[in-house]
Amino acid sequence: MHHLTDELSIAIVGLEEEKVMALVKERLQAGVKPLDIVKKLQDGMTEVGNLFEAQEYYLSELINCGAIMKAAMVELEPHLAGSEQEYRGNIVIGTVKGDIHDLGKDIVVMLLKGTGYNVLDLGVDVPPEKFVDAVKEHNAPLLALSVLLTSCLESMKEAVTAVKEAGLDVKVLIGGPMIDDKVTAYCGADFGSTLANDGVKIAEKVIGA
Amino acid sequence: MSDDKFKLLEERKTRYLAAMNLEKPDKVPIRLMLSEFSAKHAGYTFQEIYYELDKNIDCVNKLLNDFDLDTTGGAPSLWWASLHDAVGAKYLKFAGRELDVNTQFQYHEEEYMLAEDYDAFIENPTEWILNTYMPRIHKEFAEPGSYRANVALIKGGIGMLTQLGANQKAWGTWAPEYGGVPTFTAFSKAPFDTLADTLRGLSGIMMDLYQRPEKVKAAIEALIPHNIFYGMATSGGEMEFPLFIPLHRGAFPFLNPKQWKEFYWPSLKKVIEAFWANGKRTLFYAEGNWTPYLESIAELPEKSIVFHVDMTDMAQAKKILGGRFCISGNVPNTMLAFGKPDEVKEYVKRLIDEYAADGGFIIDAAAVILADAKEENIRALIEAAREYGVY
Amino acid sequence: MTKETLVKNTFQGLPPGVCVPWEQKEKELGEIKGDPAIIKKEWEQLEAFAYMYIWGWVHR
Ligand code: B12
Repeated sequence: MHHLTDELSIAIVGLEEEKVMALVKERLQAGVKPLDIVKKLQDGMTEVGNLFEAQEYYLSELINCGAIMKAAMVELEPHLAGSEQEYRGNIVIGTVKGDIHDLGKDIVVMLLKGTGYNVLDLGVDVPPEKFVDAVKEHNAPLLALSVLLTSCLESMKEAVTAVKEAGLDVKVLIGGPMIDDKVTAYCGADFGSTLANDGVKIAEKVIGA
Repeated sequence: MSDDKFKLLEERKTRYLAAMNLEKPDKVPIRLMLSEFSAKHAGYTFQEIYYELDKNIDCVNKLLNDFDLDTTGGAPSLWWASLHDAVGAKYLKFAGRELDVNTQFQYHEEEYMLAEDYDAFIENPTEWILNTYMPRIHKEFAEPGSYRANVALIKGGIGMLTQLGANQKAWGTWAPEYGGVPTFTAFSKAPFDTLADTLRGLSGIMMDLYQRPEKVKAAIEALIPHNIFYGMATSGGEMEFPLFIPLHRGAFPFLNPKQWKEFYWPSLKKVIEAFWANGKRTLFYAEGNWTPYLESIAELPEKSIVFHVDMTDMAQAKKILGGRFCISGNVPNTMLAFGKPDEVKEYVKRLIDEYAADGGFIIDAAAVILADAKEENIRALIEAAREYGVY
Repeated sequence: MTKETLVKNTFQGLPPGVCVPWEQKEKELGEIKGDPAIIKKEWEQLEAFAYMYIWGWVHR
């Protein structure tokens, strides 16, 4: 199935919380660089994203994996201080104005964070100006928008238009269950997808691995 | 009641009931779940329909006047904002209060039930809800026994009755004066959804499945008789029309197949079977995609449900459930909002050609119809259903 | 203002439709001069209303 070889990466894919925590502690004690440990966790998370896309993993596995990752990061954080965690890039994300569905968006956030991006999550019901401000402030090369309500596709379009009109050098990715090429074109976005894992793939394309 | 309205009412009712009984009615019934669309159509702001019961109800008068609908789901806003203000509901935001007057209401999901609450909940859920849950979700009821809390309880009780009464009174006009037939007359939930939607929240329940699966099972087991009772009580003895269950967390890809079979399905099945044993059919409103679970759903007693198709694969649903249950759906809501009338007509025609031929089919949109749907597209849907949907 | 503390239950495993069981109330009422069945029936009917109010906030 997957080609992971590291025990820690495999443990996170297997959702073995105790094993993950034990391995993290063990490796810290053995003097392994915290960032290398993070890298192994991220490899596991990437695989979890793939399994979700392949419909082998469901939301329950994904959310559980996110929680294990969080717990591991709590353990690691004090050791990371000073070592200046290297992010692959900034990504601004949020659910558009009028819509408060956030489960899908949160999964995208989880996968992006898990694979090493610095994600600025603006939450739900986010007005266009806020997206513009955040992209400016963080100089983000990628903006990701989520929408579940068909009645909010209009505000999706408004958000994309606002960002484009502000003349920012940013690519816009929109996602949600009803996104297709037509909707993507209608909203004026650069990319559109119904798959959370595409968030990672497109980030790699836009920002680079 | 005028004779022609009476005739219309009887025609529509016969049509709807026949389809649900897997028979061929005279025409394919049209059953649309129109919510905020109705406000736009009636010329009211969302604030008006959320806050004012008479306007919420008037939306339906206008719909019934203007569209040939075989059934109606009742007033578009299920929730009366004024009642939620009276109790200080934390989990809902309404247009006109903290949202713009034409903004869809918003729900704020949280773990209102904590992991530590399981034992008390399982022991006696009714008491736990009143003592622990309600003070958490209702600001006015935060300190039970206080003046504010006492007032909130009185207003809450009266408010709920007021809303119920207003809706009942409205049916007293919709049926005789407009020939309006109810889409459903009772309400309940899947026990897993009761726990996952308003109590533990999605992330809470997902962690519980791994960390305290036995508690989840015990809580669901405790909920079964309550969900059955609630459904039968809301039906008030009405047995012809279905009971509505909006199904949430059983959709793909929330639970893996093992979890679905272990946590979601057995309790839901028991609830639906109990309704059926009592003579009440369930409108199985399967939100999202249920394709992987169709085989299990086919285990339900014949005709005991109407299976609604949102994003479930319609061809699979027909193959596995057709001839066993009536099927409804699934004109895409994006098409109703952004498509052209011709596209809608084409889609409806195809649905009817492919899935309605042997009866047991109801035409509907895939999901609840919000204000984004264009009136011309709703008209096209109805026209096409009437044009091609004659048996 | 949130209520984080748990209140202990007075009753255990009450069936649906019941908040304060008739059996409890009957004990408290003591001698009933007329027909207890009437009083019980009426008590239970209003019990069911209270029950529906409480659960109405959960089944949504
Ligand atoms: C859970 C839910 C809710 C919860 C939301 C909880 C929360 N915190 O998010 C609550 C109860 C609050 C809710 C409220 C409402 N809901 Co709702 N809800 C759903 C439900 C059941 C599931 C949605 C979900 O979370 N799916 C799981 C997630 C993981 O999937 P997802 O969001 O699609 O995300 C995936 C992909 O789309 C993609 N993705 C998503 N975003 C992004 C972004 C990027 C960048 C990328 C790359 C990918 C991506 O990746 C994800 C993983 O695969 C759906 C029906 C359904 N089963 O789909 C209805 C549904 C979306 N809701 C609906 C409605 C109508 C409402 C309400 C108006 C209430 C009502 N009248 O029923 C309110 C609206 C509130 C508001 N203003 O937004 C309708 C929408 C109909 C329409 N015309 O658009 C639906 C379709 C139900 C229906 N069949 O009628 N809802």
